[in-house]
Amino acid sequence: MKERIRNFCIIAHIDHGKSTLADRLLQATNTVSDREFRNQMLDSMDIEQERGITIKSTAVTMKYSASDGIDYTLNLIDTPGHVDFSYEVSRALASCEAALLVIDAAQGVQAQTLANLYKAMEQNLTIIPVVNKIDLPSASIAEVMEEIDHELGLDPDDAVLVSAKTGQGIPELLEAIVRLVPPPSSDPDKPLRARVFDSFFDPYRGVVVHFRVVEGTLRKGSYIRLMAAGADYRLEEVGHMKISREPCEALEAGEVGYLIAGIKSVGDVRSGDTITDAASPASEPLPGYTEAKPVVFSSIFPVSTEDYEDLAVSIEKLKLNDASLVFEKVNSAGLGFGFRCGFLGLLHLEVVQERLEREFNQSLVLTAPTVLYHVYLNSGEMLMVDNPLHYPDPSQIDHADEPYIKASIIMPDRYIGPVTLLLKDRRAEDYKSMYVGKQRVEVTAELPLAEVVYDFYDRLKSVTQGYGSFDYEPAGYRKGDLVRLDILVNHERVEALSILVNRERAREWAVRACENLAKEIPRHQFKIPVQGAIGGTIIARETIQAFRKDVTAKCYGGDITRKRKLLEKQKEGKRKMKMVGSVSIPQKAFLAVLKRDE
Amino acid sequence: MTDGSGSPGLYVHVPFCLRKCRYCAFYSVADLDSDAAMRFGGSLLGEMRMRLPSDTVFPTFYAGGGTPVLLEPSFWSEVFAAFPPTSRLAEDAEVTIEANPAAVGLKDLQDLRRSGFNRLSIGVQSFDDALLEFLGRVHNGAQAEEMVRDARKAGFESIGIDLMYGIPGQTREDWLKDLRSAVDLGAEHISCYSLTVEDGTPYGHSVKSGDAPVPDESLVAELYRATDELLSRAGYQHYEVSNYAAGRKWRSRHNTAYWSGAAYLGFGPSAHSYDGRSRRSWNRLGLNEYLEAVESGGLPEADFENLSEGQLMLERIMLGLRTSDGVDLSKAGFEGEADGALRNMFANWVSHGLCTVDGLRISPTSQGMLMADGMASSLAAILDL
Repeated sequence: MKERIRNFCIIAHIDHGKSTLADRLLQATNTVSDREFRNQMLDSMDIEQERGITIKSTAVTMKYSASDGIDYTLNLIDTPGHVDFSYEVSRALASCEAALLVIDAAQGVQAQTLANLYKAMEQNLTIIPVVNKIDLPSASIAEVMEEIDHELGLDPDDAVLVSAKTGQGIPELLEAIVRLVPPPSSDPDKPLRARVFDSFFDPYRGVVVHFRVVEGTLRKGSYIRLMAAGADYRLEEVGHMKISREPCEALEAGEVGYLIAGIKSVGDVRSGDTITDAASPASEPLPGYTEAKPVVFSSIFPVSTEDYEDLAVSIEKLKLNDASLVFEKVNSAGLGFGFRCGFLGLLHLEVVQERLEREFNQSLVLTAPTVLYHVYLNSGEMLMVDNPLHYPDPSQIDHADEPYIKASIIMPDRYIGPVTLLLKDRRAEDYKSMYVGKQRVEVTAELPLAEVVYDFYDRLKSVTQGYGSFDYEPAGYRKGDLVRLDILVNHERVEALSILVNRERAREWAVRACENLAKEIPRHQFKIPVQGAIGGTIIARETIQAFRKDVTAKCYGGDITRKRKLLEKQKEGKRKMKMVGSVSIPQKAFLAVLKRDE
Repeated sequence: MTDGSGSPGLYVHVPFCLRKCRYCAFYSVADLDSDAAMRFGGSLLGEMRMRLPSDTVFPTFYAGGGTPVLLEPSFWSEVFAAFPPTSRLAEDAEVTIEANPAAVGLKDLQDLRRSGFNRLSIGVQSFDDALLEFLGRVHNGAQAEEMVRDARKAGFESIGIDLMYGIPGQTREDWLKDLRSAVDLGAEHISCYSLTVEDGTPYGHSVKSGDAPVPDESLVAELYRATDELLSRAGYQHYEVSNYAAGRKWRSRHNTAYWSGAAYLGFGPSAHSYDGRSRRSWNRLGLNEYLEAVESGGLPEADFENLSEGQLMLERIMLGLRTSDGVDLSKAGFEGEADGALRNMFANWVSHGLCTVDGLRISPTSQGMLMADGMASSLAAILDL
């Protein structure tokens, strides 16, 4: 049985064609009919489809009749492609025996190609290089083959050339999967251990858990235990994921599938947790489980304070499907009730924001993303500060440490100048560069995470005209020169706009914030000063001039209804504004401050 | 909340003009022959007979338009005679008619005075012939001055002059000269309107096509302040955004009713009525639709609305802030205190010289009245109206 199972995932740098390749495999194995087919089959969220990214891991079981006359079960585990979700990726990788490493024939090896390859190697996976997009005129297959050999250290003879777009090479790839991917080596008679690699919330059935059975057998109707969570559930349903769920009686070691067990929230089932049999549990969980740790923090407020209850409901619902989102209720003098949230990274933040706005129809104000600082007080005490409003009085602070990352950037060597300048601008240290191809260079450097959370990736794309790729890993804490910058509108502090920032960055940020606010805040009946301040020192200032006049000349008996309706209509616009003191600040003004433009 | 449901002021809309002015968005038609006048007069009397309440003493009467003086003065005697037997105008009623220079002579004015009008509102706009031509008015400056003198001769004690500023080509000096002329003529009431670009008017079209300039906002604001200064020195009270009176007794009582939430009954096409509590209605807009409705024995009402408490409060605020008397929020239906965001807002307005505040009464300054719409909008946001 298990000799006919092949468990594999697809890993790739972003845009190298991972989702399209998955689509082709689904079609070539008739897992999905042409009628049911749509692009990016496995990316079910709007935001995944739109951005062409994968956020959740998912699995699909395919039947394939190979040329040796045997029917094989191919389990494809689709993984997220972004660094924010690297923990999820590692859990998915741990559930496979092999990885298809997709490389764009025109772009060659990129930062995440390497990062993903290293992760796959850590899990001892068999790697099958897949050179994709060979139909492109700009494809340079020979060079990519050489990179596979020299930069990746893989056997180019194993490489399969495909065009996921046209379907060219897909039959050869399926044969290669059967030939090269080892069958799962696992024992169905040992005590049950299955690894969770992701879970989804289904509004009708509760949580649907995706897992790989590593040892033992999982039977419908039995009681299971989540070892890290320490909770037992009765197994209502187990089965294989095709495009829809196909229930079965049991899943054996080596198989990939889903289970439904009356679990209420995805927060109860963490990726990497081990499922065992509650009646005869395994003595040890599978290795590799860690709690997801947020690295970027921001507060989310409803634009209209009365929408708080709706937001609370929405964020709870979102949490059902996003275990890595952490939040707690906060109350801000200017913005009312909201949530302080922790995210895996900036993309995760954007995804949460977009989903709340779109799927839950919320209008939101987000505060500037902050990283987690270690603030050492004169008393010797250390505070972890992820919120500018909790930053202690400077007189009590001995020093503050900020988190650093080690960044890896791969680009054609002609961009090394602009990239070095960008890194320098972002306070990077310890540059190293080395060629990873004929004309491609990998630059590594260590820089503060805070310098990356704003728009580093966008800037990198811009200075490398889209050719630069980026990956990072944490690199500990270092001493920083931190200040809290406040933004005052009409002499009132706008809490949502306070940020913790490196001292040398403060003025630049303040000037830009004031300029953007002055542009976006409508004129009022009075002059409005907009200031940036560190403590009592004003370091930037703009003025919003008052209306010269704001009244219609005539209003008699026949004008009243029309005029009142106009005011009522304006109210809709005002709902998208926040009152800070006597000033109405539109949502887009908050957004304008938080976007770093050039 | 104060109840404005006392006896209503009466308004009659006469939708005829000699010709349409370039900036004017009021409903009127520019072809009046004696048949049309007869027909309209008949319908107006018919509507009044149907709608005027009995047992009522009306405090004000206002004939506006359009150009109400295009109807024969004797027609107005018929109007007053059409009141129900138990209803009448008050002894001290303010009875106003709008008139344009060149549309009436001394004889007409004497007849109008005799028929019961005691207040005349003259649409002068400017005494400057070039500016009058730009506006598309049919009279010149000399005719305007003559008319004011004729009105005095005819026995009108209360004369209002309408002037307009912000006209393209008009300098600050031009405007101050117009104001001085009105003061010198001894007008008891001066309305100073900034030229407004209205959609659907010839001037509005010219602005859209780029052929005419828009009044410059900062010049208009400057002229507004200059107006307040000059007229205040001449002894006038600035009691509404665009209205000045030479003493409290010369304020337009009829218009004050609009701004204070009192009841009014409007007759004629497009006229609005309000019961002083919660119901506002309006007549059909077009002359023909109006005539057809009344001639077939029905009411010419086109539609109505029932105002919620929030809408009433919003109207009180929006209208009250246009006047120097201001608005008392507690009388407008607000039951809270001046605390939190409201107090902040008040303090801010006061510090910027926009109003004085006493408890929940906000009294705008001249500068505040110039910001009335924005202030109303901010208050509405805070009070969630």
